[in-house]
Amino acid sequence: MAARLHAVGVNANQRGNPVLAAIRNVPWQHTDTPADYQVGRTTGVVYLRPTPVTGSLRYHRVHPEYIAARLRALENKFQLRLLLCLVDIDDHQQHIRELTRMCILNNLTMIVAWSPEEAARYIETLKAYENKPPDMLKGQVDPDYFSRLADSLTAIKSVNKTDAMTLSSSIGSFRDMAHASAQELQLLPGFGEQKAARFESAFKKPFLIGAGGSGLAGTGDGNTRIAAESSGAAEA
Amino acid sequence: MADSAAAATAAAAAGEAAADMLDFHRLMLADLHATPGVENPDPSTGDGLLVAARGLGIHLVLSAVIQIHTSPNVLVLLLNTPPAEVAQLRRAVARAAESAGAAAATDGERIRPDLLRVVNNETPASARAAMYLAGGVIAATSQILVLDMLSKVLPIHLVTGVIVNHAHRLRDTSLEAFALRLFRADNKVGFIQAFSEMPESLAAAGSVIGGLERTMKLLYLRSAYLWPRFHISVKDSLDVRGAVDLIELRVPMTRRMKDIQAAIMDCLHECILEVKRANPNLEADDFKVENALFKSFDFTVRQQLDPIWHRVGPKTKSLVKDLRVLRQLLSFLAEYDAVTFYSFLETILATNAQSTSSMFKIGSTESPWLMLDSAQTVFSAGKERAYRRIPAGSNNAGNGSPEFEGIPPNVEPVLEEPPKWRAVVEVVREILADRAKSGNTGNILVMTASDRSSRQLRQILADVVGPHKSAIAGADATRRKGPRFSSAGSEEVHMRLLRNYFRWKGTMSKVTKTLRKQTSGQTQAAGAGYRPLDLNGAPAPMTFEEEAEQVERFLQQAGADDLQPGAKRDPAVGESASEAQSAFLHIRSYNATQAPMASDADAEGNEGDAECLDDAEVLRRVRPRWIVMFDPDMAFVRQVEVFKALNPDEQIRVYFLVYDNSVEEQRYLTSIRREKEAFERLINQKANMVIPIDQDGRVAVDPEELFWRNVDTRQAGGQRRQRGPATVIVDVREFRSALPSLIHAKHMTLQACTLEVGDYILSPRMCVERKSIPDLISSFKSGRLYTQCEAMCLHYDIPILLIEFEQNRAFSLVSASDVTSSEVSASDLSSRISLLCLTFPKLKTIWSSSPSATAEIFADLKATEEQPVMEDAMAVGVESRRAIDSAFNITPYDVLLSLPGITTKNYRTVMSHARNLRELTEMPLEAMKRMIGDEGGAKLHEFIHANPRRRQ
Repeated sequence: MAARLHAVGVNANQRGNPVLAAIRNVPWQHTDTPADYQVGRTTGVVYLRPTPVTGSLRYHRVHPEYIAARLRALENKFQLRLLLCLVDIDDHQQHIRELTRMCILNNLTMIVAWSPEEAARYIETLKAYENKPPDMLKGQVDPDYFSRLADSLTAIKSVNKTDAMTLSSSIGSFRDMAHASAQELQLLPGFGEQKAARFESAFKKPFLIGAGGSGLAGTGDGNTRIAAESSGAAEA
Repeated sequence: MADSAAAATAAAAAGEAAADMLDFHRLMLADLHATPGVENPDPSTGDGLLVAARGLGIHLVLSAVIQIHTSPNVLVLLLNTPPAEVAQLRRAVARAAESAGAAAATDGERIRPDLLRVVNNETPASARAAMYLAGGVIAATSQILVLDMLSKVLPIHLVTGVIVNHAHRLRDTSLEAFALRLFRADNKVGFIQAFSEMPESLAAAGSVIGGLERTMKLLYLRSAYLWPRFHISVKDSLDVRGAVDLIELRVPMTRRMKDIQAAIMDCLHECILEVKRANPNLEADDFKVENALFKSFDFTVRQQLDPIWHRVGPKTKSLVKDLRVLRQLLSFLAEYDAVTFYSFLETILATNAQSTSSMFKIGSTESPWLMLDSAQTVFSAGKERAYRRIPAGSNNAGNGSPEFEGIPPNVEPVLEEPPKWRAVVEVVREILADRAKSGNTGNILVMTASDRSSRQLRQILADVVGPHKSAIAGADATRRKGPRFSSAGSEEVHMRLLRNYFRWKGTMSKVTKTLRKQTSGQTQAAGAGYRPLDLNGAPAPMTFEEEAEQVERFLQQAGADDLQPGAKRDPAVGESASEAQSAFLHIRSYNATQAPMASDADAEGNEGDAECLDDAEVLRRVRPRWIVMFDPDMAFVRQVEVFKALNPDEQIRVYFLVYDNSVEEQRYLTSIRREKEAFERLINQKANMVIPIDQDGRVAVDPEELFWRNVDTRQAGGQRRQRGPATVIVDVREFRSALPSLIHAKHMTLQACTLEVGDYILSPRMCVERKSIPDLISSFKSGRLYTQCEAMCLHYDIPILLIEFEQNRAFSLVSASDVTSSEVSASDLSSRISLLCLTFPKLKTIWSSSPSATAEIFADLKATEEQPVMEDAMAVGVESRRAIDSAFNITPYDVLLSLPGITTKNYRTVMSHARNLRELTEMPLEAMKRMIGDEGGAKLHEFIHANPRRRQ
């Protein structure tokens, strides 16, 4: 384990793996590690695919015991234990299901990739971000005004970006939009009765539903049929 | 509850209700209900799916069925019915009650409109329990119904039956299907009746074959009744008695309109070809321009592309979007006036130029159709219809007159009047002449497709019909302009539109500029900007932008305060006109039912004639002698026929206006043909269908099967474990997704409550946060996922992030082409997932290809775990007890969370400070700062008040 830690430590059993060939952005070297890839002092990745020919789930289908053996070798040496799983068969559902159960019960985090390139990208990223603070996850640095505006307005069903632009140019600020009546909205191109009504009600509806709810009180009426409506688009 | 009693009532009430019905309506009703006196051991009696052609008046049958059940002795649930429709049904029932009032002697047979009630998210739980027990017909929001069934607030075994409206919307994952499953599980006797007026979507629902079969399976039904327009009894009823005097007016389009239409069709054609070229493996049959005229085309396209959506390039994706825009343009061409149409075109351009570089959007490109020559035709002809630019210098004499106020000097209004407006004025004049002959009696009804056009028509027709208040002005105008406008009202409308347009355009320039300023700092210059539009031979080719700027300058000079953005919107469009409206002219839009009918409609929605009536009701009330169909609509034609057949004494003449050789016409004809074909397919399917004998779900579950279901062979020899049933605690908000229903289908017990941390609690130590792919992306972006994971890691031993893909969609995160980018980029989804794993080593993940796969995984995970306790789960992460007891409206909540400065931590505070979004926007800066802190408050305030129309 005397690996140079600025490089990804690669287990010798990965020789010939196309993933290895796809790792370009970070250095790697063969080391003696219980994981397949050791991307940091505390992070070990098990890659489900040991032979050069077969793919991962494809391999797992034939050798389900392999992964358990690999896990035993891993012991408790790492803080973050990852299983990188390459999906390369079509009837993956059953296998993913088994692997998921195994991962969760054995304290492994599963990452699914669909191509060796994508798998390699995960390994690269894990290495590159090894010491990165999680700021990037804490919300985006302010995007520009219009994307923000479009983001919030398109949260209303059937409002799209063109509509956001229409609103911005003919009504003005967010505050003014909040006060626009359905009648005014209907004058805008692209706004029919339904959209106008929906838009107005989004701003007019109280956040909280009647105080008397027992916790069972549900959510907005229009939303209950989302699944049905979106697929029911076949109505002429 | 006594089924026989209900049946007896049924027979009696059906007789009463029949007064308002035609023969075939009665047959429909008979189909659904057992005929009394006939020996009929078929257990499916009373069950059935009724599919009728649009406009045949299926609501008459529905309301008859409801009348039958408005009795305290029965409890019938009405599903999938929007509030506006319930209101209509209630009116119909009340009317029937009135007319039958004297006849009904005993209490049991009386129709009681008060027993048709609504249960929605605003009905408190305690009241709901009482309502269920009081009986009658209850129109319930499916979500509430499911929650009540799960929590046993609703006594399922007491339910007499369920009525499903709009049955074609049912999917195996929809809440209605879930409710039906819960119902059938505990109630083997109750009836299920389903109604649908959409044979097209039923015939095509989901897969290519067996849409009907699948829907019936979901409905637990074994019989379907089809009532196309060509059904023999329908024909008998309508062809003779329903024949009306129809005059079809084929209005020619103007040359420019034709040009535009042809050009749009060209673009459409190109787009479709392009999609085909990019995806050669698509089924070519459906990819025809003819189909592209219909909304359902989007659905077909998505259905074909979804499984390979990860492989299609960004180009195809934007093409698919463009197809929708183009279709919209086609219908707006017929529907909108020249000015509104052109301003819509400009907005499309502006949005396209504004393709900002958002984080997760890879390779967003400009819509390809905009580059086509045909697109230039659309834009230039669209503009020509609105106004013409005249060379600077040549002074326009007319400019001084007051009507040109607000229009820049070097612009000459062209204002091509939509030919239909002229036609409608002529028709109304003709009708008026007729009417004068017959002694000025009889009503006129003008039907339009949208509220917008009905409002405009109201104004246009005001002076044709009304007291000639503006006769002089009108005459004046016609003298000056020649016969350009058919009526003074029309001219007024046009001038106002043009003025508004220029005002809008002026601000548009500011908007784009301010937006540009902000984006220019970032990556690529969105400033490729607008491409010059004035290819139509403007003296000096001027870009849209320059022009807008010029307009803006003009507006500044005009400087008048009343031109201030937003300060003066036209106060009353058509309101003054509608006052002057004479009592005999009615102008309405089809199915005004869909108009604003928010929960608080009573408060202000109902002023004037805003009351929502469906077309049949309109006909009944207005009793028109003349009907002008401004826009063609298949259902309305039939409704007129039904109305005529019901009232054979009425004289009705229908004027049917349609643009000659237009898309509008084609669309109308195709819609008729499609419906017919759909019915033919359904009839075929019905004939070939194989229906399992127990599809109605009335057969009790075999106790032995039940036993084996609970046995787990993993436990030595299948020993039974002494544990409660497998329980999953679900957040109520999750009921919007399909997963709860599928979990239930896996024989797990669901407990619903409001969860502060996580969406699903599998065991005291397992907590799952579900993210669909779009959710995942947006919550990464907003940082919500981070806080959610943080909270889960804090409170649970095994926090799990569930990444759920959609059924039938590609099970893949990114398209292969995206990975090939050479560097690790922070904006990639995979990078964020990696960082998330690194940040929370404890976090586990589930990758699930579909909700049903998720349900299986959940079952697996729970096998060895303890059952969770609801009280504990609800208490997790909650600061005050009060917070648990409130639920909130989803859309306002979504909008709120997307605002800057609002986080998952402080939104509850915000909700307690402001009643709704509108109130929030009125808060002063100080109050916002106090509420969510200095930084957040300032950000929020700035966002809310930022006005790109004012130069910053």
